[in-house]
Amino acid sequence: MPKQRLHPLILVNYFLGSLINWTVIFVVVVNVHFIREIPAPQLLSLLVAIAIVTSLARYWLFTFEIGDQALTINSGLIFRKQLHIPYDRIQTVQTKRWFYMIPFGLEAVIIETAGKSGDDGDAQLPMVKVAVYQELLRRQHAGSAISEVASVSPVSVETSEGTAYKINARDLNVYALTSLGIAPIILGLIYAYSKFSDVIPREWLSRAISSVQHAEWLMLVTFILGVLIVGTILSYVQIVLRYYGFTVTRQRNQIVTRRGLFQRRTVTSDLDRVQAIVVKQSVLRQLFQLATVQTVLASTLSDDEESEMVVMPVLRTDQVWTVMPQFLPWLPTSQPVITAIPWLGQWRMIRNAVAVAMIPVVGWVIVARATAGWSLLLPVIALFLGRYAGQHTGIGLVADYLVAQEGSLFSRTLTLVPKKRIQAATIQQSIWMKRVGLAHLAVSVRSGDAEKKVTVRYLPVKVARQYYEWYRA
Amino acid sequence: MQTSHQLPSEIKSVWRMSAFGSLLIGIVIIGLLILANHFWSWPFWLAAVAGVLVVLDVVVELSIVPYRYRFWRYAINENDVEIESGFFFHHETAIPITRIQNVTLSAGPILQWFKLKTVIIETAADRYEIEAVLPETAETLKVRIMTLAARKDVEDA
Repeated sequence: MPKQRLHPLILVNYFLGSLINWTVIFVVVVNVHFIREIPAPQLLSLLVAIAIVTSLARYWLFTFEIGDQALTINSGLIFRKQLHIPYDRIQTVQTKRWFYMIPFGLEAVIIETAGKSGDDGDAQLPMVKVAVYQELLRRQHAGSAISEVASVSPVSVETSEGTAYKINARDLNVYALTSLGIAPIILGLIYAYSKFSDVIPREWLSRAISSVQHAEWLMLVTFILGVLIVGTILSYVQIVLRYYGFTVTRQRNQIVTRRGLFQRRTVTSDLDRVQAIVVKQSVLRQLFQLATVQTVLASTLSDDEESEMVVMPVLRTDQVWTVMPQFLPWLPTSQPVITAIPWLGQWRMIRNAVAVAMIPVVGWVIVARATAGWSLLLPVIALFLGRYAGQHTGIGLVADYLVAQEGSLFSRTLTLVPKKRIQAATIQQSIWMKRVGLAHLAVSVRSGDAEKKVTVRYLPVKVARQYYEWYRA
Repeated sequence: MQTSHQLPSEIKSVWRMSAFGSLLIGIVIIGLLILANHFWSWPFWLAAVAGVLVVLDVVVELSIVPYRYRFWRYAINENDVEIESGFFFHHETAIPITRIQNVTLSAGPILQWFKLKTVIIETAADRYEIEAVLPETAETLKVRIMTLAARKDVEDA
């Protein structure tokens, strides 16, 4: 195939992006007085001109070529860069399709390769015809399994649906409603409020405050309630948008997930790349008997979202072990048995949590003695956190998989790792633990481009050693 | 561990020398702080605090040398490499040879002087260090990993 350029629609993206960048550069870097001397229309047209020139240059210089052996991407103005990706090195192909790309039949294609090479590990074609993605998939299949593909036409690879699952509206609702994603949003709102309160005219603000001063508490409560409600709605909308129309399909050795409303996202990944399976439940979802299933993938993207792919956003707990093995064939078909840690260990987790919580309490007492009573809430919360963590920590074995359960911050995580995916195992023991015969067992798993440590804390040392020897054998 | 080895005893001298190295660096920093106090009237207590920290660091580094040596052990077994260290916080790690992606031998000037090498073992997820081994041991490790890797290839095929 000849050299190709991206679809010209990318010019709009480039233009807007560089317009914003250059505006920021002008505002932040260039002297403010200097800008004031230029009349606004001239300044604007200067920015627009720069944006147009840089976008055109970027468009012109970005070329790609789907060759016989490899995908080649050329880019860069001052530093020319040429990236070759042999097809058999491609690990996953992802696509992102914003709603405005759909009418044009366009999408962004992200290609991930193996190898631990940092930023250069992945390549992007930010705006290409859908056919490019199919062509890449076809070549990737052709490279990875020549004999297999010979009999299967490329079209059937795309359309033959294996096992499939589509989220229904009710599940999506429950998933969004039980999400704890509200916490960061509330922090964001408070931050935005603190920024905005600088902008709102002083007298307006003080008038508003003085009129309700007698009802200070009422205002505070209203404010908190308002933040909570807005936060919940935003978090709900965010999750619904992200997981709208979630489907997962298995085609031979590949798992494909599709999701999103405004941005339709497809991730195709090899089952061979799965390093571990994680079943997650927050305390809220435990109450509703719901679980989320994720896979830990080896990839070159260090991003957390990329390395832990959600295969099943929401599933009833009793269905996990009947449904999931259809997609991840090596999963056990019944709930794995987990041995809890002894009370001695659970007690230590409570102690640790409370001890950590006492640090801010001491600080609080020193800095603001008058309100220090409130700080006692922290150790109480910590007490429950520690209790929760202790109760939900455990370990087990299913065939050749290690099952580790951790509880932290009111959520329970069950990790299943095949023995062959454990990169190393460590027994950790401080001298105080030695006295009471406890030890931590930590196993090292690859996640994305980095390490994920799965640790089961405060096991009886005999048990820890038993698992350690199981791993070594 | 059945056949574990201690680090070569020269490592104690290496550690003492590196403590001495920290002392030198510390003295340079203290000197700079005293100069800064003299020329730009930085507060003198900065230099005093730095002095105390440097002395503490060197004393601790020197005094734990025998313990570090006593509890640092490694074993290169048929199937895995085991590394054990620490008394107060004891760690024992097993790395199967089939999981090892690459082995790097490196030696700074002090290690070179003692003809020792640091072995850095990398897995797909993380890296581990055997602080110092004799050159023969490094060679043994390399050969063993290569044979095992070759055997694994045969199994795969």
